[in-house]
Amino acid sequence: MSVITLNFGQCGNQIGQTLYTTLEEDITLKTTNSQHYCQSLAKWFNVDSKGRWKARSILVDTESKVIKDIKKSWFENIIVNPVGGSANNWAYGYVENSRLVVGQVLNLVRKELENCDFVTSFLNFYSLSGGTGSGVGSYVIEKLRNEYPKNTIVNCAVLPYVKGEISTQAYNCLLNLSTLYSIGDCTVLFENERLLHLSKYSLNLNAVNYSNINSIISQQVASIFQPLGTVTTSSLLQNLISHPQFKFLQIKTEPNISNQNSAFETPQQCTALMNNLLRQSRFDHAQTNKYSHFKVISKALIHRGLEKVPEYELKSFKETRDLVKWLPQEESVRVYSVPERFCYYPNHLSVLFNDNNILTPLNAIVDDAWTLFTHRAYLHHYSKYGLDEEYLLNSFQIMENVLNNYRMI
Amino acid sequence: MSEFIVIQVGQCGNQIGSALWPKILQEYDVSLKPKPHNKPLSNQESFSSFFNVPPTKTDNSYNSLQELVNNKVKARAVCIDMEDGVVARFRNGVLKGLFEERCMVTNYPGSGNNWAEGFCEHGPQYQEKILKSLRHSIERCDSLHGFLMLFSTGGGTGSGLGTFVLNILSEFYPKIERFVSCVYATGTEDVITSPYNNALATHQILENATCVFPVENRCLLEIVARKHKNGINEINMFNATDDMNSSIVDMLLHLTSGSRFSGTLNFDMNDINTNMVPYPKMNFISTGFNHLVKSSLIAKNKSKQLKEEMFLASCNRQNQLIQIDPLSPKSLLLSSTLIGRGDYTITDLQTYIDKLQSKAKFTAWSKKSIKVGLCNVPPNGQTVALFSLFNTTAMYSLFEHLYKQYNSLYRKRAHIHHYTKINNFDIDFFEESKESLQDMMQKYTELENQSPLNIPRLTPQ
Repeated sequence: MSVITLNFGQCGNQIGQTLYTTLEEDITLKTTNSQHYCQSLAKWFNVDSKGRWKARSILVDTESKVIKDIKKSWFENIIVNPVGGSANNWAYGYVENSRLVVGQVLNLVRKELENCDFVTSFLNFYSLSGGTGSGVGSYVIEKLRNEYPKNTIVNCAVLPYVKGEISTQAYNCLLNLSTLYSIGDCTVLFENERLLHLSKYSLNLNAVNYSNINSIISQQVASIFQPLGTVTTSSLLQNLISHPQFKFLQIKTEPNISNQNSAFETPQQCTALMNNLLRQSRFDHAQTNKYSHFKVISKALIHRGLEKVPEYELKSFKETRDLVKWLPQEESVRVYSVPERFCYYPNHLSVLFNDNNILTPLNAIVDDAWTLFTHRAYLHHYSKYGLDEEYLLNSFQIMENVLNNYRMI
Repeated sequence: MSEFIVIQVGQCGNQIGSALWPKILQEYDVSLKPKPHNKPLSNQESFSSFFNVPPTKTDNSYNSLQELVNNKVKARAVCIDMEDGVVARFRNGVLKGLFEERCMVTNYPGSGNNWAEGFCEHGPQYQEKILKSLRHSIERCDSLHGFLMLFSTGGGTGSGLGTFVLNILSEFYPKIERFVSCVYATGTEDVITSPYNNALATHQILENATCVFPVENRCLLEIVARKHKNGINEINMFNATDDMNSSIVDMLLHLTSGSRFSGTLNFDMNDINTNMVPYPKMNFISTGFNHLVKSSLIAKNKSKQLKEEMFLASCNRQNQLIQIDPLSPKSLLLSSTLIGRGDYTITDLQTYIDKLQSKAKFTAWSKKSIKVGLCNVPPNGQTVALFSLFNTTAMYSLFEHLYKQYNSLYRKRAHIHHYTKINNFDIDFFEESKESLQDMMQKYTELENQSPLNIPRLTPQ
């Protein structure tokens, strides 16, 4: 069972590159020709006639500079239409630049599909704030859904810093989320703010670079989507998305150790890791309370390692009071255990969860976009491409509905 | 790689050009002397941004100007002047051979410091020739990103013909961005009609440019004087123009750096329009960076302190090319951009955003209108540099200055006959330009006095 990744824009392409580095590292650490090794190799890579690994991945950008920096030989499917970027404008990416690449992308997807025995899902990577990832991504994923209505589409999207990194980020996020929310099977959100926090305090980095953040994202994604024995990616996600109104997922992992320090770390036991995970969650609870009570719709714990997670830890993970009442507990909490190491970690825990914590960042984005919108700032860049006020109001309405659903649980 | 066509019009524009091209070559480590140097070449991948390399040559690595000329590498430039003097430098000077004869449009004897002569007379007369030169340059581009226009607004050719060319560009190539860097001769006005020329040109620029990076002569003079005082550059006053031009050139190189070099948080020239212009026509942008860099002192220094100094310097009013203070408590920031070149990290930029947000004043919506970018390649001879762009309501003062000077002449209708005698000059140009300046002043005042709107968000359905 294979996964095809599509990477859009600078952020998406950088993540794509680090993701395959992480995967390669993880796979090569496995015993060759064990079942797990074969499964994960087939999931992510094509092996060509000369024995070289080729990523089942398609890189899309509208600027040649970023792609140029990608040196690894895994990537064969690179589509660059060097029009000088999408100007941090979702509308430009969605309306104009996407048309230049969409045909090529779909052709390459078809070619990749022919190389696989069985494809279950597409993983898309992009940042929400810019023009190419957000805008071109939206259009291409819409078309992808049309072509492949039955496959699972997982969108991995990176949220921008709340303080701002692009003037039009709020509009771009809003437009992307409102377009793709109904199309994807689920959207895994990464908050730049939280990742920066994690790099500063868990990895003890004084100066954080994008490579640090990208490698955290890659590890999180890899730890979730590496094969889970007999459980497929789609069924893992199906269990988490129990209702089409609640499609946002987030990931937390333990341990987080920077590469340079890994040699000096003592292997942590599962109990300690579980505690650390809880500590990460507590930070969130304090933040969410502003909007509504903390509620979890569903969550899944994935343990990779030879040691067993103690029963009592699992019990406390399963029996929390924060679970929604309208789902039976065994439906909303799942535990998966894989007796294989993840990368160089003897034990690795990751949690994939669907809860109303996501309200905090999303609400802030809608707020920012609304403030810009009511003051009519930056609107002319969007109306230039035919996105009038009506279009934006419609997007606001979609997002308000989505947020409200999360508020009401 | 994104490509730019530099269009230099008039004496001032071509002088800036003659300072720009050697600096570009220097940035790409191309020596001007006939003998090639033995330094390792760096960053020549983006060489095609400013130069057209014939397809026969496959590897882009050049040591000396001679090599460029031998390989028929041509600058992507269109030089227009109604005098011969300055453009002749490109024909016969040090850079001989780098410019195409087809892309030079010249005539004798100038436009008499009269905007109308440039715009209404020379413009239509040379339109075909200019279009031909433009077409020639554009045909040699793979991914044309934008036009960079250089001219001054006070004279006749740069001001009149320059804005005429700008109109042509927006008519014939509406989809390609038009970046204008225009020099306002404020403080050193030596031409009696320059207030008229300034106003008439500004009106056209407001109508047709994507983004404008204005430069005031008085700011350049101050910067040169400070450089002089600090012993950065031992100059005599004869060379003051050269030094002033070099500040403009540095600004242009910073501005295009994101499009030419890669970075972990890439930014392109067309991002500037989206990020910096919140409302149509609010496209006059102030640029700031540290002008007083003693390259010998900091060549090896990468400390945090130096990086921060660069940030503070770029926000300082002394380092703006327009006489405004971006952090003034009296004006509001509409949008800003911080571009770190060299060894900057996200943490650095986050700290600077915090500082900027706490120091400056903002409108109800603009606090988060910040764009950050990272570019791997620092400017020549420096290890780190920070370049910032500000769109602020303080720009009001520039328009006010232009308006006042214009009005003091126009009230008495002084010198108008020089303009009306030109064929095709429409007397309405005067009123239109006046209204245009007033309109801009009003827009900035309105934004300053704008009260925050508190419209509740949509209710879920």
